[in-house]
Order: sequence, then structure tokens, then C-alpha cells
Amino acid sequence: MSGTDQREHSGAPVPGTAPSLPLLRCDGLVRRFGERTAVDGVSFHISAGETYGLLGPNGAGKTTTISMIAGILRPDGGRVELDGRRVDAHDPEAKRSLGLVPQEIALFDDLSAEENLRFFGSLQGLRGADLRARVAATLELVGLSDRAKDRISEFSGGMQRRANIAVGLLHRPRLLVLDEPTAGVDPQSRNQILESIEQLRAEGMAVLYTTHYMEEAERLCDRVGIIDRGRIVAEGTRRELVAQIGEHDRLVVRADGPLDAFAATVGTLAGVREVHVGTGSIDVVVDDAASTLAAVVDAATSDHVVVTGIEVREPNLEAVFLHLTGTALRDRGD
Amino acid sequence: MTRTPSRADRAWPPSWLLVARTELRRRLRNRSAIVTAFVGPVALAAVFGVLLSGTSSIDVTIAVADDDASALTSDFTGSLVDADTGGDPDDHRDDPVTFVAIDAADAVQAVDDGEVDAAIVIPAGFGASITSGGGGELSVIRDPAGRISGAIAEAVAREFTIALSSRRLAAATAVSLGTAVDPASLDTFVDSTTTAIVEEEPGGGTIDAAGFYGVGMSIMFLFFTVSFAARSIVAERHNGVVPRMLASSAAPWEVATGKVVAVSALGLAGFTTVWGVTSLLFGSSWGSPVAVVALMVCTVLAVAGVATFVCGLARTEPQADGYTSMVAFALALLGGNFVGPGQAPAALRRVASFTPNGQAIDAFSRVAVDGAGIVDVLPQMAALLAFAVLLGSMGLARVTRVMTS
Ligand SMILES: Nc1ncnc2c1ncn2[C@@H]1O[C@H](COP(=O)(O)OP(=O)(O)OP(=O)(O)O)[C@@H](O)[C@H]1O
Ligand SMILES: [Mg+2]
Repeated sequence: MSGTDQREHSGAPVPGTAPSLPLLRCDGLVRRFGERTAVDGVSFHISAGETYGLLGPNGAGKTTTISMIAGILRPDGGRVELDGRRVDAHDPEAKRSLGLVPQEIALFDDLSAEENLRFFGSLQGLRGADLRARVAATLELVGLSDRAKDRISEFSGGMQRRANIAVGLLHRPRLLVLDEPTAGVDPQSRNQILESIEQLRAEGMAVLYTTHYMEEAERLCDRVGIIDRGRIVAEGTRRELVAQIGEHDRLVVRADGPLDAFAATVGTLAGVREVHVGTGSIDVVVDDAASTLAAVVDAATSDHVVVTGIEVREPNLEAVFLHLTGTALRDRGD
Repeated sequence: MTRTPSRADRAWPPSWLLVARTELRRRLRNRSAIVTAFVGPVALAAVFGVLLSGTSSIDVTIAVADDDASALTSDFTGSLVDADTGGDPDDHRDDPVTFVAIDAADAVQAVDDGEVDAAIVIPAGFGASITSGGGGELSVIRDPAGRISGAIAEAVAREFTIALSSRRLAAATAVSLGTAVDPASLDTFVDSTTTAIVEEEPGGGTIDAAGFYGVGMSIMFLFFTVSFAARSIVAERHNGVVPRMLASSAAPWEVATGKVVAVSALGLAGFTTVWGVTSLLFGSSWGSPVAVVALMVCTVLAVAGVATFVCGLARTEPQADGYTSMVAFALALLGGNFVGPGQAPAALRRVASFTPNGQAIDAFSRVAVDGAGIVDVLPQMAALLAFAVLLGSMGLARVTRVMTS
């Protein structure tokens, strides 16, 4: 939300401080379709090399937001800046550092994968040997080299998805925008897709990723914006989001011995918020499960308690989402 | 690692040309280009050449099934069956194209069995729908092996529907112009498809009817061909390909221009085919080749302007189709594509000079009839280019708004 923006960028950007400017900056984006306001004042930014997840249920406004960012849909309000330059349908150059992977398979299905890549690559300004090399390398990255000459219409669903992604990253954009790239693919293809994105991320490409799969957002994204009914209702790292709603990590320690004394000791440890004693176990609410775990085990040893099992419960984004919107994300099943 | 290509990298070819090239490649691959540029025009030329000049090496039988049996349609089927399309006027056996009546239920079988080369089926309720102002749809059953016969049948069916719609529009237009139109002069077109006509020009020259209708129909054909651009843009907006082109740094005007250029190239090829076939096979003379080529190019540009204008309006496929038909019929009617020279009411003739096709027909007639050269038709060429620039720029000015809405 804009609050985050202000915290990190107080005051107007000063000329000459370009490197610290975010790569992408959306300010108060609004888009209506007739009576319906699909996007209602969305603001966020993405820094160079950062992976940002836009998480929300069907109809939340993810695709509409992305379309405005990619300059293919006119906003009714607000602005998009890419690399310090305003994105505008009249100024194609502003979009050069962006690669879009749309939600649908937006390819000529009567052309081959290679022909599609060559066409869109040439629109991006690539020519000759450079274009050929990029096409080959990108097909290799998405694992379609051996099917390069086949028409898109002859591809399986998962292969079409991968070809769809290939077009978006062909010109090596500084920001790759992916709109639900794993929708409707089998787990193997999905993993392949997620791995390619992780690889690009490791190479320093910034990524804007929309999904309604929590696991994907948690696995890939440095920061997540939760969007619901056209508004970003919360934003931050997973930990920040979880803290924002008052949820914390929990350690459930099953043990034999003097549990009351053990609970009292654990209650004095740093980073422990609450301790509840149950039958045969204690329930510890902590700031960070990983860093507190060792101290809890040490306390058990000194209190002569025999630990028979420890369960770590980290509240996930699903819980955050449920808390913020009162609805679960749509479960598409895997 | 990450590098953004600069302006200098993308000097040539420009985006619009890349779009045009890909569009042409796809159309050639699925063979629709061959139909629009060659098969269709050959059929068109054959219909006019054969029906109007009587020379022929074609022998095609087309069944007409009138399931509607209204006054409107039995007129049409009757005149087709009775038509003498060439050779001895009293002998139908030597006709290049023969029409036979058939039951709708038997039409498919007859084509399958090879008894007839193609069939036109008029569905029940067609006449009532037309009369009440609704649209009508004829179906054509074609033998996949018989490209030409199928195309002739389609051309005949299309002529019929165009004629019906144009008469409706003509009446409406005449009323709004405050003039009365003699219905008989509008009927001429319907008759003309089945009758050999040699028209007398007021100036005394003789108009080659095949050539004249060749031009008029080529322009209509051209128009429908070129207007595929709007349809294709709308369809590809919906499947996400156009948005992706825009996201890939193509400007909306470049996408529209590329599409229009591709189909215009096909339109020009089709136009040239009609010219070639009517001249070489049927001996029509269109006049000075230099003037004809120059006029063709200007006409294609003007029609491309109209198509671009439609691209700037249509947001959905039905809209693309609707605007195309509306503009086509209105222009065809006002421009005089359907009525022979000298037959148009004076009011319509005046209006015709404000339409690109009216200017084109005027210029082609001068070249064919008066033996005018390229210099004599410079004013018409200038008018056509003005239409191209005016309509084209209006379309392009709107296209960004339409594509990003
Ligand atoms: N072209 C359009 N015309 C009318 N309404 C639209 C259009 N595009 C989107 N909407 C509406 O705007 C809202 C947001 O849609 P959007 O496609 O952005 O959602 P989304 O978050 O991408 O959903 P999903 O997860 O299903 O892809 C929805 O209510 C949708 O019906
Ligand atoms: Mg979406």
C-alpha cells in the first residue's frame, strides 16, 4: 500500500538519485469497466532484482493491474513508471524493459514456437544474429529446443505455457511480468516453470508474479501484495504480513516430565511471546520458530524433560488472506 | 546481463512491416490468401466474363434449392434457371453455367454424387426475414474438389444478398435525400447478373459490360478483403496476441497499419487477377495499362483508408462485421457500383463523387471507354489519395483508444 511507499521514499524523488528509484512504480491506479471498478487505487513498487507477488482471488483485479503496467490498457486514474519513464500506449519505448507473460496463451497457433519468438523478438528490436541467438537460448531455457519447429497448435497445454513464457523473456527484460503462468499445468511442468523463474531471478531479473497459489508466492516472492476487490489490502514479506495480522509462529513441544516448570523456563526465553501448557505438550508462541527452537530444546534438557516430538507451525499467507478478506483464496486444486 | 535494445537496433524493418509480413505468411500458409487473391477473383471474373460476354470454356452446373418459395426468392431462382449464360440463346445445353432447381433435402446428396458442381440453398423464411428488414443467409454447398464451381455459386449467392440489401438501402437513401428513385433502375443490377448487357454511354462510346461490372465488383471484393483487417485485429485483441504486440513495444497504429497493408497487398493481387482474367480470357479492354495500374493502386489505398477507419471504430467482431457491411453497402450504393453508368438517378450520381468507389468507377470508365490516359484521371487519383489520407488518419487517430480500452 502507499504507506509502504512513503516509509521507504519519504518526499519527492530527488533528481540525480536514479539508482535508488524503484524499477517499477505504480501510483493510485484506477480502472473501471462500466459500473464496476476493477482496480481501485493500486500503488506499489518493485526494486531492481526483486520478486514481487500479487496474490488475490479470481476477479481481484490482478490482470487488469498488469495490463495497465504493460501499457495495453488505459488507466482511468494513476500512473505507471518503468525505469523512471511513464508507461504510455503512445510511447512504445517506455515498455522496452518489460516482458509480459499474459494469463492466456497469446501466440499465433498456426506458427511454430520459433516463428512466434522471432516475430515478437523482432518487435522488441532484436535483429539478425542477436535475434537468432536469443531465440535459441530462450527455447533452451524453457526446454522446447527439440520442438522449435512445431506449430503451437500441436503443443500440449504445458508446452504452450512454456512457449508463452519464452516470448516474455526473449529480450531479457529488466522486469518480467507473469500473470498466473502455472494455471492449469501438471505438477511437473509447474515445477519446471518455477525453476526457470528462480533461475532468472538468480540472474538478477526483477519479477512481478500474480497467482492465487499461496505456495508459489511463498516459494518465489521477496514481497507479496495481497489484492482483493481492486485494492491492495496488505503488503510485505511473509513474516511482515503474518505479524501484521497478529499471527505468530508456534512450536508445539510434546514432552514427558515436569511440564509446568518447563513452560515457565521457556516463557523467559528471548523471542517467546506466550506459553500454554496442554496435556503431554506445551504450545509456544514465538517471533521466529527457527531461531527459538534450539533454546527451547536446551531448556528441556536443563529441566529434565524428555522431548518426544516438536511441531513447527508457521502461519502462512492463506491465514493472512483469510484474516484480511474473510474469504479463502479460490482453491483450483492441483 | 539485462540489456534494453535501443532505437538504433530496430531501424529496419519497422514494426508495421513485421506485422504485415507475419500476417501474409499466416494467410499464405492457411491458403486463405490464395482464395482472396486468386481463386475468388477468378471466379468473380468468370461470372461476369461468362455471364456477360458469352464466351466460355467453363461447364458448371449449379443447383438452386428454394426452401423459402417466397415471391422474392422464386423470382431469383426462376431467373437463374431460365438464364441463358452463353452460346445459342435457345439452347441451354451449351451454356457455360447452368442453373437447375432442386429440393433442399436433395442438395447435399446431389453435390456428393457429382450430379451438380455446387448448390445454393435458400432457407425457409429467408424472404420474410429480408422483407421485414432483418438479414438473410444463404448457404452454399460446395464440392471440395471444385474450387471454381463453389466460388461461382458463392459469388452468385453473394450478389443476390448484396442486391437485396442495396435495394433496401437505396430506398432509404433516396428518401433521406428527398428524391424518388425509380425502383426499376435499382432492379437492373439483379437482372444484370443473368443478362448480357451492352450499355450505351451518353457520349456515344460503348461500355464493355464485363469490364464495368468487373471494376464495380472488384471494388466490393477488395473492400471485403481489406476489411478483414478490422476483424483480424478484433479477434487477436481477444486472444491476447494484439495486447502482446503492444506489450512488445509495437504502437497501436503500427499494428493496425501492418494488418491493413497485408490485406491490401492481397486486395491488389485480387484486383490484378480480375483485370488479367477479364482481359485475357474474355477479351474485355480496361484501357491504358499504365492508367489502370495507377488507378488500381490508388483505389486499393483509398479502400485501405476506409478499412483503417473501420479499425478505429470496431471493438467486437459483430461490430467489425456490421460496420464493414454498412459502410460497404452504403458506399457501393452511393458510389454506383450496382447501377450501370448513365442509369443512376442524377442525385445519386452527384453523391457518387463523394465516395472513393464512385471516383474509382468514374476513372476506370474514362480509361476504358474514352481511352483516357493517366494524365486525364489525375483528379480522380488525387481524390482517391485524399480519401486514403483522410480516412486512414482518422482511423489511426482512434485506433490507440480502441486497442487499449
Ligand atoms: N474487459 C473487461 N470488461 C468488463 N469487465 C472486466 C474486463 N476485464 C476485467 N473485468 C472485470 O474486472 C474485474 C477484475 O478482473 P481481472 O481480470 O483483473 O481479475 P483477476 O484478478 O486477474 O482474476 P483471475 O484470477 O480470474 O484472472 C472482474 O470483476 C472482471 O469481471
Ligand atoms: Mg487474471
